[in-house]
Amino acid sequence: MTDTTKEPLLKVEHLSKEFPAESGMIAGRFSKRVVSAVKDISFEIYPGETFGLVGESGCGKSTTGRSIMRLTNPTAGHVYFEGKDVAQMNSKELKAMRREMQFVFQDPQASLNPRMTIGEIVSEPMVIHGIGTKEERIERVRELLDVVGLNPEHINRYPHEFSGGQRQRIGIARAFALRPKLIICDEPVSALDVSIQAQVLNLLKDLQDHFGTAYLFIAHDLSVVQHISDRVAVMYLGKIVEISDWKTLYTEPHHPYTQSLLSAVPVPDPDVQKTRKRIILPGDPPSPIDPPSGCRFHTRCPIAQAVCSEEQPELREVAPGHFCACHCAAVNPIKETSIEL
Amino acid sequence: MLYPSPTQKLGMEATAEAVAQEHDKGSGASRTLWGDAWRRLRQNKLAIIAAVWIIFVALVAITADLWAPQLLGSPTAADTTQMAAQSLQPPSLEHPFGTDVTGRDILVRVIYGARISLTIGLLATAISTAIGLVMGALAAYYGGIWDTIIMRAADIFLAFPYVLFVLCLIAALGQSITNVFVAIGILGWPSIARVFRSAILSVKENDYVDAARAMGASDARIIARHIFPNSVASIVVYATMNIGSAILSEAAISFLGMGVQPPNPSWGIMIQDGQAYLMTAPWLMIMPGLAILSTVLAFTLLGDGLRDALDVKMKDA
Amino acid sequence: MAKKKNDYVDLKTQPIPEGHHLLEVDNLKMFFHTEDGVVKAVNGVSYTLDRGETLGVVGESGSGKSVTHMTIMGLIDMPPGKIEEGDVRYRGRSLLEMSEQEMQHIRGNDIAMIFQDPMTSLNPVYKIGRQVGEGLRLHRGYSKKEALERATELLRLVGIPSPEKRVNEYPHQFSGGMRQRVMIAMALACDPDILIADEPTTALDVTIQAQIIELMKEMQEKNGNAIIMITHDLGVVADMADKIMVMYAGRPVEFGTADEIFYESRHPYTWGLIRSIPEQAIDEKKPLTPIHGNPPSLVNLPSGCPFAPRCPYAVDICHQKEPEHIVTETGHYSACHFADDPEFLKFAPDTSRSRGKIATGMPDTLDPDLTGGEA
Repeated sequence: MTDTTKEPLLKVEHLSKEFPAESGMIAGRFSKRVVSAVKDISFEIYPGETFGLVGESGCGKSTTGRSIMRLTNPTAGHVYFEGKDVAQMNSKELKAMRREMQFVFQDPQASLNPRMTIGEIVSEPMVIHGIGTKEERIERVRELLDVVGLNPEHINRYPHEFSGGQRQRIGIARAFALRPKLIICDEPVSALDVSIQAQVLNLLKDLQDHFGTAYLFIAHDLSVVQHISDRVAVMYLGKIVEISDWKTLYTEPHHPYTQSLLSAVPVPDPDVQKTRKRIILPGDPPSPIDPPSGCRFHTRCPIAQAVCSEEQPELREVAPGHFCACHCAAVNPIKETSIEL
Repeated sequence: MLYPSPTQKLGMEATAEAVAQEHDKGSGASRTLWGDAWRRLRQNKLAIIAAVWIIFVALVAITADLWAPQLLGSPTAADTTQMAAQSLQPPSLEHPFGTDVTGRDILVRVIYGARISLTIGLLATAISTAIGLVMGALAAYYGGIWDTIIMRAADIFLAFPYVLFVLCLIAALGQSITNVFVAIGILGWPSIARVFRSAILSVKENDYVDAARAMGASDARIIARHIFPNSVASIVVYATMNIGSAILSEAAISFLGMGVQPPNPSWGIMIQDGQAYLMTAPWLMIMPGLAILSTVLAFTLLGDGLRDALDVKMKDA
Repeated sequence: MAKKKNDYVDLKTQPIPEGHHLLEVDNLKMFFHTEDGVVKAVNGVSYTLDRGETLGVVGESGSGKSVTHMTIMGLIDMPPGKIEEGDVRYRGRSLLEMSEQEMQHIRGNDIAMIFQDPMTSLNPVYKIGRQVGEGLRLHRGYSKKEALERATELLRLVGIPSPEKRVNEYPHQFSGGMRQRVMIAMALACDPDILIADEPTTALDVTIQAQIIELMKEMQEKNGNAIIMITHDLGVVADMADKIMVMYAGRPVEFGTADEIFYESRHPYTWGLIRSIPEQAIDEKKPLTPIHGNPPSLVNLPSGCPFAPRCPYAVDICHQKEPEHIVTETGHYSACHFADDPEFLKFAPDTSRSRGKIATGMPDTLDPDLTGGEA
C-alpha cells in the first residue's frame, strides 16, 4: 500500500519540542530546565498510507501530532506538507494547509462543543473554508453522517445525546468533511469499549479505502496500531527508536524496547500467554526533564553496553525500509518465531 | 483509607448513560441546551419563586406612576400640616407599611425605592459585566503580559476597602444617581473578570477548541462560536448574583449619605431615616429592610438556580 | 505476634465448612431504584471461588462487573441500591446478613480491594508508611512502630526500592506504577483470603502493567489467596485467570475455566468480544468483526435475551424468552438458548487451538536471563 517511489505527503525532519519545566510567570520565563518532549525525530508519510506512531504515555507521540498540525509550535526542525514548510506558513497558507490536514481527538466528549448541534459541528469546517451554500452543506452533512453510520435525521441533536462510540463517529465525520489528504488520529479508540473500538477501526479503514486519505495514527495500544497501520514508528522518551513496515516490526523487531513492548502486551489466548517468553522491563520510564545520556533507553535496557550511556544511537537502516536506533541491534539478529502446538 | 469512597457513582453513571440512550430511542425531535436549562430551572421551586418575586417587584416599580401616588400619596411630598398629622402611624389598612415622620406612606416610598435600587443594581452590574467581560477575555485569551497586567490591576482593585473607594469616587465625580451606579459598576469589574477568565481558561483546555483551530478557524470565530457560548453560563450566574450585591452597595452608600439624596426614596436612605425611630416606630426600618432582604435573596437564589440549570456536565456525568 | 485489639475471630482462620467454597455468589441481584426507573445493575450473578484461584470478570463499561463486587463488599449505598435476591457466602457465612461492624472486619482483613486509579486511591496528606500500615493497626491492633516495620517489609515485598526511605514519603513522590505497588502492599497487609482488583492496570502503561501482573501472580503464589480480577481486557484475563465470568448488561452471560471461555466458548457475546480484538497477525490482516450497535440501557432492557438486538444469530425465541443458564458437566454455563446445539457452536471464532498454530510476536533469541530484574 505504501508507495515510497512517490513524493511524501508529509515529511518531518529533525523535529524537536521542548516545554519549560516550570510553569507560571516568573519561573516559566527564566528557568533553564526544559521538558524535552520530542527530540530530533524524522519520518515521512506517503499519500494514502497509515503511519502508526506507538509508545507509552509521555513518550511525545501526541506532541508530535500537535506540532505537525502547528497546534503547538515546534522548538526546532521542519515539517513539510506537500513540500511546503509548515513552520514558515503565514496564516493564509496555514488555513489552506489545514483544509488538507485534519485531526481526530482521543476524547470524543471533549472534542465536540456541547452547545453546537451535530449538524453545526460537522459543517463547521465547510463554513470556515467557505464551501457550498447552506443547503449544500446540510446535504453534505447528511451524507457524511450516513457514511459514518449515524442516522442523518439526528442532525439537530446535541453531542450529549450520543454514546461515546457515536460521538467518535461524529468527530470522524467532521474530519472527513473537507476530504483532507491527511488525518492525524490521536488515540481515536482508546476511550472506547472493545466492541465499539472495533467498529471505529473498521470505519476508519473503510473511509480510507473510499477516500484515499493518509492517516497518522497515534496510539499506545500495539495491537490496534498493528491492525490499522502500513508502517509503524515506535517512540520512547521523545525519540523514535524503530521504524518499519508493520509486518517486519511485529515479526522481526530489532530494538530491545520494541521487543519488550511486544512481549508485554497480554495476548488474549491463554496457551500463548503461558508459553511465550516475556521481557519485563524494570523500573519506570525516566523523566523527560532530565533524560538519560546517550541512548535514552539504556537505564531500562536488558542488553545495554557501556557505549549506550555515552553515545546517542542514530536511526540506521538495518534492512530496506527498516530503521532502528540501537548500538546493539546488529549484535542481536532476530528471527521470526511462532509456536507449534 | 483502604476504601477511598464507596463509589455509589458507579450506579449513577449507569443511570445517566441509560437515560441518554433511552432518549436516543425517542422521537426525532431534539431538545436544545437552553431549552433543557429552562426545563431544569422550572423544576427548581426556589428559583422560580425568586424569579416571580423579582418580576413582581420590577412590574410594581415600573408601573408605579400609574397608580401608586393616587392610592397612597406622593412619595416625596414636602412637609404639610395635613401630612404631619399622619406622622409615624403604624401599619394599617390605609397605610399598609405605616407612615414616616413627615406622614408619607412607607409603602409608596418602598415602591419608588425599588425603582432606584433595581435601576442601580441592573446598570451597575451592566457596567461591571461589560468591563469584566472584556478584561477577562483579554487576560485569558492572550495570556502572558496581558494576563499579568489585567489580573494584577484586578487584585489592586479588590485590595481596596470597597465602600471607602466608592465614596471617594462619588466624591470625585459628584453626587448623583448616575454617579452612584457608575462608581459601583466600575468597582465591580474585577470579580467578573476573574470568573470569566477562569471560565475561559477551562473551556480553552477542551479539545473542541483545538479541533476548531485545526480546521483553520479564526480567533474571532473560536471566541464567538466555541469559547463564549461555553463560558457565558458562569457569567449569567455571577451577574445575576451581582445585581443583588449592587443593590446592597447602593443601600450602604445611601445610608452613609453619599448616594441617592433625599427626598428621593432609596431603600438605604429610608433605613437611615428610620434609624432614629428604631424603638418607637420600628416599621420605618423594617419595611425597607425587608424589601432589600427579599430582593437580594431573590437574585441570589435565582443565580443559584441558573448555575444548576446551565451546567451541561450535570447531565453528561 | 501483636495482640488482638478485640475478641473478634478472623473468619479467614476458620475452616471452610463441608460442601462450601471460599466464596459463593448465588444468583445475586442488586437493583438501583432511581427517579428514572429501576437500574438492574447486578442481575443474577453466580460463581464460586476457592483459595489460590483467580477469577477473571470481563465486560465492557456498564456491564455491572464493578458494581457486582462493590455489592459483595457492601460498598453500595442502600438506598438507592437494594438487594433483590440471592446471597453471597464467604467461608459458608452470608456477607449480606452481616452487620456493618462485622463487614468492617471483613473488608481489608479477609477480603481486600485494589482500585483502578492509584492516583486517587491514596490519601495525598499521609505518608506512604502510615497508609500501608493502617489496615494492620485497624484489624490487628499493631502499634505504630510495628505497623511501620511491617509496612517497610511489605513495600520491599512488592518491589519498591529502598523501602526504609520510601515509607516516609508522600504519594505524589511515587510514579503511577509505584503507587499501584503501594496499593497492592496495602491490600496484602493483612494477608487477605481474597483480593478483588478492579481494573488495576488500566491506568498504567503496558510495560508497567506487565510488572504489576507479574507481581500479583507472585504474591498469590506466596500467600495462596484468591484473586478476582475485574477488567475489560481479555488479554489480562488470559494471562492470569483460572476461571472467567463474562458479563453483559448486568448479567453473567458465560462462566467457565479460562480454556473453556477462550477455546470452547458457548456464547455469541464472548465470540464477539474475541473477534473485536485485533490479532497479532503475521501473515495477512483480517478485518475485525465488531459487535454492532451499543449496549442496552439498564433501565429499559430489551425483552428476551439482552444481547439479542446485537446478536448476529438472534432468532424469534431470543427476542421473546430470556435464556436460562445452560450448564455443562464441568460447571461451564452460558446464557444462550443454543449453547448446547453443536451445529450452532460451529459459528464460534477460530482459536489458536482450532488452527493449531499461533504467532507469539516475541523473538526467542533474546536471552531471558538478560531481562534485568523481573518486576
